[in-house]
Amino acid sequence: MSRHAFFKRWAVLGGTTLALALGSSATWAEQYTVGFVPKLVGIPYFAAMKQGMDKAGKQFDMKIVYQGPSSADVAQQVNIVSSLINQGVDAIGVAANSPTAFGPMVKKARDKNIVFYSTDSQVDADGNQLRVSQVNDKALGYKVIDVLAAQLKANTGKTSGKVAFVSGGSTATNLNTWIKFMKARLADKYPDIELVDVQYGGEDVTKATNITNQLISAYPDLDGIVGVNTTSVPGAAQAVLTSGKKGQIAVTGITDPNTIRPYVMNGTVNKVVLWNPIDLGYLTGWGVKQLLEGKSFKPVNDVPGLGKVKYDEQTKTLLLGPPMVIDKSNIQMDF
Amino acid sequence: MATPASSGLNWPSWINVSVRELLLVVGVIVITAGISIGSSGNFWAASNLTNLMISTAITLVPAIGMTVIIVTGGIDVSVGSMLGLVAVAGGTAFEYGLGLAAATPVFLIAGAILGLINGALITYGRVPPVIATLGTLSVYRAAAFLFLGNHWITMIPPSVTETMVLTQPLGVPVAVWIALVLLALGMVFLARLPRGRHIFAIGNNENAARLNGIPVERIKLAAYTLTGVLVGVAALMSLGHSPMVQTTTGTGFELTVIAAVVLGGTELTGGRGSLLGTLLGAILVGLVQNGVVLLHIQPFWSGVVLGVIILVSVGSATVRRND
Repeated sequence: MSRHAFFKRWAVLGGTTLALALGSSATWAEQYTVGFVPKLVGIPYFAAMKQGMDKAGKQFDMKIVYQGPSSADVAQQVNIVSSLINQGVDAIGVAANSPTAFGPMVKKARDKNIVFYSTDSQVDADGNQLRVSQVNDKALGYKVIDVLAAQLKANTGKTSGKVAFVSGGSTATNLNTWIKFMKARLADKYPDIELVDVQYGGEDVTKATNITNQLISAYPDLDGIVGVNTTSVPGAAQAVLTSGKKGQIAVTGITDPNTIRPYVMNGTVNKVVLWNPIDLGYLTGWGVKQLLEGKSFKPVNDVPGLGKVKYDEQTKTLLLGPPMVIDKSNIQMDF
Repeated sequence: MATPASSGLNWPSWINVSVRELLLVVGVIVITAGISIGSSGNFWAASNLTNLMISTAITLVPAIGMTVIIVTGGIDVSVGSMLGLVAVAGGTAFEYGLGLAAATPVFLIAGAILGLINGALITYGRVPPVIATLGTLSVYRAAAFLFLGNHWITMIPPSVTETMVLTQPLGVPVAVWIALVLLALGMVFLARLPRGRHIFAIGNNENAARLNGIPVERIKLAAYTLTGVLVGVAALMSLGHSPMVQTTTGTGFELTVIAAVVLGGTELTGGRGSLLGTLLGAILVGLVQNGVVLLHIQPFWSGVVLGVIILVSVGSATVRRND
């Protein structure tokens, strides 16, 4: 399977080179080139977003150039954005590693009449013409806690107990925002669920496993664990599995089906929450096309293949929709 | 875990306990006591002990090879990327449907090849060890990126965790038994066999060793290759511990391994070192990393504590020798 992906990669690389060569000689073809710079390459999440953008590219006749840093590094990301602008793309966008670092890049792009957008993780600068947001942060945080509470009730018969959060980077804006809303939901709706600890394991499943193991030992009467990022949920599930606490400690959080599949199949995890990154990429592609053609957005837009999508004029934000619950019934989705 | 600190007159000759190792034992006991009290006894929960033992074993196994390399006067800073790339190779074998027994040779052979490349660059390519392995640190990581693309390997068979972690003869996981057996073999080899003494000779004076007819290049090549194989073993254990391969798997692992070896009293200048010290160093590193969450503080503090322990212990050894 991975060999397959390996060969496909090279084929795609070769194809891109060929397309670039052809594209430069065939300027009469009015195809827009859209650059997308993810936080980092080499992780399934952004590969899924790219899949969605490519789909939009095919459907709306755009060429998608996907390039990103090998680690979630702001400086590297700025360099890549800058070089894509210099190459003269028609639109450039990022899933930003920092909300504030792209001000000069937005200006540079706009001076050259290049559309600037952000998706997944937004850019604050005023000149940013479009933000595509996966999900309302509040809705996501609330949903995770609701899933946790339902799981606690299923395990112990009551919505109370001690829970801990395992997150990724301690400074990640989106993760900290979700934690804030998760805490708010606990305080408002589930006062009997006590949050005993928040720990940070980075984007590393081994660290998340170790930390959860130690949490389980440090709080012998722990009832639930919420993983806030992709690697924390499988790490937590593995720790619960090897310490023999499956069925006693509820595990949920925010992660993707490919990563959590083994633990959903063996019953350590029942439900996790996410949005569909393929749809997010597709919506981004659609939104950029509208801007390139000079169209404006309505408060509610009909997006082919996605249905009704809301647009907030004030923040220039397209919102993908409500969070998606992943369980045994839809775990086969591939991203 | 803690060896009794008796005067030890009746040790077998291949166990040679020095003052430094006794100090390390004291350090281990003090830290264990501190964590026990600070965590109101939760440290001794079975699942925590298992986790501590597995983490220590994963560090210890490559540290055995690293000790040998450092005694010869070399170093291998590529083991983190090596672990990642070996895990990619082995994980791919699992994806093809191979079972644990069939995939094990993939881990060992992949490790041997990567270690052999390091060794060949150093011995026959005449590249200084730090430079050579700094190069392969980058190359092996890049290879893992290229091969894995945007994909993580998540379908590791449950039998890996069951065998390595959950099967516990006499209450000790299989992975830990493997590490202890490899350590005992290494200790006997270094102390009792002529080849073992040749390794110390190379580290003390490479030219003199060569003049005495010791096959310096072949021994060094073997040391790096052996470390590669041991990294292969560690990669398999680590997939039992957390069954997922990311492009970043193993990042920073080389520092943990080198820290364990250096803490154990093996000197970076070569010629001096002990595997018993390395075991104690690995336990100490494991304890510090284990303790932080139990004491309800954030994990990055373990880096601070570990750094201070290394500076104090290595620094004091240097000061003592200069007096």
